This record gives sequence, C-alpha cells and structure tokens, in this order.
Amino acid sequence: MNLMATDQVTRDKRLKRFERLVRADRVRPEDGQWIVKKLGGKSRIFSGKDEAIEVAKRKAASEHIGVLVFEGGHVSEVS
Amino acid sequence: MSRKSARTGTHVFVNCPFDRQYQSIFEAVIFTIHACGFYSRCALENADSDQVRLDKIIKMIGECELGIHDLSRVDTHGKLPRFNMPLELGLFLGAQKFGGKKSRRKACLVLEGERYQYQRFISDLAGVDPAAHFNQPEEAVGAVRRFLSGHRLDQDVPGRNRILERYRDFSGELPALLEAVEQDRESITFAEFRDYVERYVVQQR
Repeated sequence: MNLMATDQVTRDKRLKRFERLVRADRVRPEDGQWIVKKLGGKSRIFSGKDEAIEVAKRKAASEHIGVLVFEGGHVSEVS
Repeated sequence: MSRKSARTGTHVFVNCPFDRQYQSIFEAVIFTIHACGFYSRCALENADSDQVRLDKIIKMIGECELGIHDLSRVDTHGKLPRFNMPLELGLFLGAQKFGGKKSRRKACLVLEGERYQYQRFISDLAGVDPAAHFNQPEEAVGAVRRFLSGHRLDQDVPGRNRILERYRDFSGELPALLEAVEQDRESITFAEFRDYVERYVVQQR
C-alpha cells in the first residue's frame, strides 16, 4: 500500500508538471521563422529566435506561466 | 469544461482492437471524445486490477451512457475472427434493452472498416447503421464527432477539422512533453495517455 501511495504522489506530481508545461507559451521554428503561440491562442511570427523568446517571456511573466521552446523534437523550458 | 466535470460528466465506453495497427485510430478516437467534452473509458484502464476481465467490462458498461464499438477487425476473411468486440457490443445492447430506466438512455456508435462490412458477419445489426472509417483516423474522428454532437446538448462540440488540427498539435508535441516529464510514448498506459489528453484539450478550448 505504501508503494501505491508513493506511485500516486509521483503520478500526481508528473501530471501537475505536465499541466504546467501545457499551459505555457510555445516558441517553435516554422519555415525559417519563429512562432510564439499558446494552446488555443493566436500565433505571432518573428524572424529571430531570441526576439521570439524575449517576447514570449515578457508575455508569460505577466500571465505567470512558462515558456517552452520546441526544437529538434525536444522541448526546453526557459525562464 | 474543467477536468473534474469531464470525469464526472458523460462517460464513453470504447470497445475496439488494441493492436499496434489500430493505435492511430484508437488514439484519435480517445482524443475526439475528450475534445468534445466527454470522458473515455476502456478495458485497458485498469489493466493491473485483479478483477475478472469480463466483470470489469460489465461494470464499466454499466457506468457509461455512450458506447463506441469498432467491428472493423472482426471480419478476417477466413481466419479466426475476433469475438471480443461483438461480445462487448452485445453486452452494451443488452444493458440498453434490459437494464433499468437509466440504462435505456444508453446509445452507441458502431464503426466498421468499410461500408456494409458488418453484413458479412453480423447481419442482425441491420438497422443500426454503422459508420465506416476506412481505417483512416480522420474518418473515425468525423464519425465519432457526429455521434457525440448528438449527445452534447449543453454546448457545441468543435468541428471535425478543428479537432483534427488540435489532434495534430497534440500528437506533434506529446513526445517532447513526455520527455520533459520523464516518460515516453512507448511505455505509458492508457490511463496515463487519457490523463495527458484531458489536460491538453482543456487548454486548447
């Protein structure tokens, strides 16, 4: 039973983290440009990666959410 | 709709094959159910339970107002057919016909691989009007969405193209998101997959 309780805590923690990632603004490359987009939101297009990340970070900070950068099949969280 | 209300809302029993060839249709169907504001259930959700499989399925059918039954893999053209899906469809129809007042509200969608395929092996279904998905996830999404839209009276469900667009986003992001939470697509269970789908679609609304 203790093991099950531990598993549940781990699963809940993982789900919370997943939820936080899903809420975040996304930055990703597309056709040589950089897109900033939140799930269910509108896209903003930038020519440079750094500019896109900076804009996303400012917006995310005001909404108390994170910023995810999707690149090469991986995701990294920037703050 | 919040996660909690999705879970306590209308449950949809998914009776389908669980093989690798069917996985893309299965995942698209599960995603569509949640994108339309319903909650998916299937026999895989408590695989670690020591409860007898049939009892588990009967209990689940009792808890689900809606059912999606895919018979596309039953007809094997000469090889031994797979009877699990027709058996579970029979249990669902039996519950609908012989259950109490609440069970009479049950409704189901029958899916087949090609049009009129069911007539070759389960002709008693004539009149049920199965929907063919031609083994394409996009077609399955359309059929499931049409069925569910008729059972969602409190709000509209998204259109097929919108669901497909959201599903593509989800499928594209999922591997990287799983990596970030130290999991991988190959090893997650159905219950975990459903948890992730549910959390994702809530943000997409």
